[in-house]
Amino acid sequence: MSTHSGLQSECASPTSEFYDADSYISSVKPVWCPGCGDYSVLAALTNALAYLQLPPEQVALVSGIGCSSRIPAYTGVYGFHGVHGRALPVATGLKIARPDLTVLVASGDGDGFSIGGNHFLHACRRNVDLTYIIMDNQVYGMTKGQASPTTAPDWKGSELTPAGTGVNPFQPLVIALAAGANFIARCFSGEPANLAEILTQAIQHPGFSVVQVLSPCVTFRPEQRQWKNLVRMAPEGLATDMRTAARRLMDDDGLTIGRVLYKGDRAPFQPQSAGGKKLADLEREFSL
Amino acid sequence: MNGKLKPNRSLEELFEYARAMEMEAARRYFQLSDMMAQHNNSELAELFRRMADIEWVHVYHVGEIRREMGVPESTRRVYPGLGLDGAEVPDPLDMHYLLRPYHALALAREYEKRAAQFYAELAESAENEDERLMAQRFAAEEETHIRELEQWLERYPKPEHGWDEDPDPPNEPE
Repeated sequence: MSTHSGLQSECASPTSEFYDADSYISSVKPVWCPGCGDYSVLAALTNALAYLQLPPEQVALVSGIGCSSRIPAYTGVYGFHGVHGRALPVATGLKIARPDLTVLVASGDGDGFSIGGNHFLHACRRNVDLTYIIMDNQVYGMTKGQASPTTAPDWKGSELTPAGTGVNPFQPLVIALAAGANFIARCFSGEPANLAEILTQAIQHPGFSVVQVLSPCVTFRPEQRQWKNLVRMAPEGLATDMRTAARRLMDDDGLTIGRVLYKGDRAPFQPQSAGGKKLADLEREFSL
Repeated sequence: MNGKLKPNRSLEELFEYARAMEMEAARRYFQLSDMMAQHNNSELAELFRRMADIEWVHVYHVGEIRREMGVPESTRRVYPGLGLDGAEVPDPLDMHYLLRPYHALALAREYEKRAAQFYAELAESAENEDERLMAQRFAAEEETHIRELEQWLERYPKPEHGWDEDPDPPNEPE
């Protein structure tokens, strides 16, 4: 399990079934920029999986396109690096077909809220038992620094929008609440211990869980290094009714982190029975 | 930052906590080493690999002290990142691809200082004498690590202003 076998006596579990965080790491080395927040998301996620002692072969991590969407390759769980914005439909299909698997979805703010924005709405509404981790750096990093849906309207860092976009940013958590997500939280990659705790709760909570992670892009948004001085703990008190949660989220400036902001009790989506039809009958309906 | 859990105050759990913190630091130095290797900073990659190895020695050392003190191994694992303050754990956000050994060692010294402060505060707030003495010993251990890093730092002059300027950066905004 550990890559440091010489010291296994200090690290090994009493049983052979024990998984430590390194059990979920692959041999593929990340190519994220030094300083990128996504490194800490990877560390926190593997810590959360180790805490839950989920066998790696019982976990699937689905992603779209972008820097953050490279994360499945860096883990040792089943991974699917899909097409831009389409991580959620793939993950939904996987969870419906294999409800025994723990299905996680990773995305960035561009992939998740722009190209995949419509899927985001309906994944919240459908409430399939998935955990959606959005690494939000308010920029398209992989394509070298363009404004994304969560970029502030006056950000002038890209030549494509030299005067800023002038468009109000997308508010993912308010929208997630309105669309029906069953668990909502915001974290910061610079607080990986807290992030691991919240991810653990998100994975355990039934239904569609949304965890927005403020994950700085130090290359195209170097000012985001200051997030570590700007983020603060969200006020105490878990909201379990949508009205309270909505008020909290609407009053929020996007920099409160570290606590679950909403936990609902909607039952996760279960597929309807095919009404006794056999596969051959269903295929016949689609034949030309 | 609030929201970080304090360890429960049995000696077994204190040892488990110390072990988990050193392990997580080792893992993260290993990650930083890979990060620098990917970005062609082989000097830093090698240095961080050494730091990871040193942290693994610290993991072993925590176990040695536990055995020496006759404290049984905790049956309740404190998982890195969960209920772990992680004072000694390096932060990738502090990294830059042109970082020099001086910066890396100075950062490591800061992380060790945080760990020493964490144990000192734990000693102050300890609810029993055994725990207070053990937390003080861990604080002293961390102070030793700080001194070792300071000696190591003496070998490297502080880089001049502009060390992070790159006339041909790998990524430029479009």
